[in-house]
Amino acid sequence: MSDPAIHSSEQLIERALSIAREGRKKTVAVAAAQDVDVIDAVTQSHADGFLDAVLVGDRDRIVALAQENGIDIGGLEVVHQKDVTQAAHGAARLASEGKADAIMKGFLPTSSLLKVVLDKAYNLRGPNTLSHCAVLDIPGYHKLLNFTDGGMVVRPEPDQKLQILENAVLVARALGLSPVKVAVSAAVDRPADYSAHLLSDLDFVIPSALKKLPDLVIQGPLTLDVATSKDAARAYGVSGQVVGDADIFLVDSIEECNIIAKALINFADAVFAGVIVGAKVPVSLVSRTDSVANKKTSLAIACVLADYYAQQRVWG
Amino acid sequence: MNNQTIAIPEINTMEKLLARARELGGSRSLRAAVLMPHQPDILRGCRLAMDEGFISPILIGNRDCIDRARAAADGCLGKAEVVNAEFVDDAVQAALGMVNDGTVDLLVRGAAPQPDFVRLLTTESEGFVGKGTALGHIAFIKPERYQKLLALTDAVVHPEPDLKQKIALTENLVAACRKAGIDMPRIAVLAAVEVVYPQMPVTMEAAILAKMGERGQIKGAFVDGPLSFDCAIDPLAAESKGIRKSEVAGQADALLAPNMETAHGVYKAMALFGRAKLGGVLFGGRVPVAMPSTSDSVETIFHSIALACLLR
Repeated sequence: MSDPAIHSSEQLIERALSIAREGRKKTVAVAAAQDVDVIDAVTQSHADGFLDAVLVGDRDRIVALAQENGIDIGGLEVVHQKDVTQAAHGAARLASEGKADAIMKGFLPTSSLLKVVLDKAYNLRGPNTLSHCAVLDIPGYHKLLNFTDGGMVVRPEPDQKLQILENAVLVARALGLSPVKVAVSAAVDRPADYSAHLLSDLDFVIPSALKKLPDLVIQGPLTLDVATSKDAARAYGVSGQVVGDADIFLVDSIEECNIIAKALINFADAVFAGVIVGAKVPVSLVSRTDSVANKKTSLAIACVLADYYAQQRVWG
Repeated sequence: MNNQTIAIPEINTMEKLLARARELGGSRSLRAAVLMPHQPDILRGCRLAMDEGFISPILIGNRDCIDRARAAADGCLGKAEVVNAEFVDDAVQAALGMVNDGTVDLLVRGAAPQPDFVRLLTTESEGFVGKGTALGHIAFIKPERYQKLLALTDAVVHPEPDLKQKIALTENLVAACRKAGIDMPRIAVLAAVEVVYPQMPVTMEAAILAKMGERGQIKGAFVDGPLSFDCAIDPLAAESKGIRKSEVAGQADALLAPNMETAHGVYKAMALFGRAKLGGVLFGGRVPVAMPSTSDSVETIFHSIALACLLR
């Protein structure tokens, strides 16, 4: 029997908890864990009961940071590795050996961590490019909306855009969505001039996605208002299964995605779960400015995604 | 976010902005040509602007469509003059004629399809946009969660502005903010990150614009970038990213988006989910054009018209 679809950040954390209760609690390996916000997010999620964590990093610094900030790391395993790159290798090794289900970025640059994760030695590469999914729970919208890619690929080529979409669809499957509804973003619904990227969306990305990915509805070009509001769609005279009901908002540049998502987080109280998809384990990252809710939800989506990978044997 | 002090201009709400528009307008309402008011909400928005003393409208469009829209809007603007025009080209021609001979002070877009409308306005032979200037869309937005207004460009005209166009759009922002009573606007050039990466051209152009602002090549504003959205509007985010010595970070009055999709998405995100008061205008032409988006509310249509009056 399949679980019901997840439509809110609360349901996301609830699912991560139920996965743990069913005996499949996920373990997160933290690379260079000497970062107070990361320690805080992991210990809170651990206290909630939806994950175990291995803190790979500078043990003295980790212990000191926890003490200074009154955080109890008693329940977490610490693996000492002072060098941050070596700590990343340590976390990747744990994931590679099946001892961790997800990797979390600590006190090192994202690019350094991802380079290690993609090191062939660990066999964690998937067939697709890595991309970032920002899954937003926006008050006023009736379901989660996945903005992608606002973190990894600056200006995707058509084939990369298809891979970004495939990654986002994996997340949608993990959330139990069926069918998955995809809006391909644009600034106007009926453009006078079809730009090169719009043409490649229409000629390549959309038909390829329909061919390759089952149980998918995809529509574009759609503006954000038409994708998320049936009233707006009516005003424009646009109909279809995706209008007012999109699960994924597939954009054309890192700027568009990043800026719109942050506008919703800062000014519309959207709760945000961010995860890097495309490797055989989810990669989680939180930033200092994320709220506690955002940090926890980001870890929860990594756990839910990792469980989906394991249950469905996505990577064989 | 609220513990930090940010610079807040006197005019920091939509209500105050409208009051300023009314004050500057004096007792006379401005004459507005409304292009293709074929939807009831456009008529309602225009009537609100008329009742509030901002405009006296002339309706240009298909007479039958206008009559149907009037009927659907309870006879709204039943007494306004109608100039018949079958197609968008005819309507724009008629309106530009009125602009040229001084019959109207501003334009209001109704159901005229946006891409066609913009193309017709920017056609060089029409002379609506002067040489060396750029027509761009500027929205004024007051999100509930921000302590002041935010101007945003360009959600309508330039799909991928190049550096030259970005300079012109920034100058438009300066001029519009001044009319809105913000004398030294803090303009954030938005990007996905707040550092310069050669592989991200948006960040390099943002840095150039910032330098141009610093050296006084762009006058009358503080310009800084690249700034991510949160670093532009949240002082804590800016501080945590180590951005210091910036007059803009954390307290932007205006945002230059890297492309049209971004600006449009932010505008719509705020309209739908930001509990924001907002309106939008095409600025930089011979007269301002109130430019409500097709799905905008009557209130937003009204704000757009009032803003066009302000920016005249």
